Amino acid sequence: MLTLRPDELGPQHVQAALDAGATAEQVREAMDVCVEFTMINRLADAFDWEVPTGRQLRQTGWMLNRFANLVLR
Amino acid sequence: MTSESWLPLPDVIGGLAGIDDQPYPEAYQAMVRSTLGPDATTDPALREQVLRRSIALSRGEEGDPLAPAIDPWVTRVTLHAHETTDEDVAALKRHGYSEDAIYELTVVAALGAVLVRLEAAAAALQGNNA
Repeated sequence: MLTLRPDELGPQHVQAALDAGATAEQVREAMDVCVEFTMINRLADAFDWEVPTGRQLRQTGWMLNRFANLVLR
Repeated sequence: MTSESWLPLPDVIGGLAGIDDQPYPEAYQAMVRSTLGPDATTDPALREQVLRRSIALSRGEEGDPLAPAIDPWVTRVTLHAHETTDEDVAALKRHGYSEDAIYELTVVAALGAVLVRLEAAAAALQGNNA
């Protein structure tokens, strides 16, 4: 919902995730992932980025973690 | 030139719903400042127009169209990035946009989509008191 139809997202969707057993922190983390990939997917599609593998994938994961910790926190 | 003079920040993002009690404000204000700041090839005013256009499109609003040469690219990146093609980029170059300019405006368009999702996430969390 947040990725494709953000205007339809509401408190009821947060509550559904909480009712299913997710913590509030986990819901926030899921939202962070959606937000990060809103940027990454658009740049990847626009510039034909290759999907990383192996060492490059690990480095990308490290970068994303840094991004989440430094920018979104 | 001060940061206040090149970026009317409250006007760009101050109206985003439900954001005040969330952990995002300082972070995404920094994102907006760095993306619209002076250290770039393109005019800051153009980048701000692109950001406003992307925010409007991401909210399902019409907004103010950009120049005909760049508006289709910004719209596509914002709403249907998977449909962008090499020919789209070639067309932008034929209209005089450098690769640096295309990159900057693409990042700004993507940022508009990001901000609207931050807005939606914050409003949903606030509404749930999560």
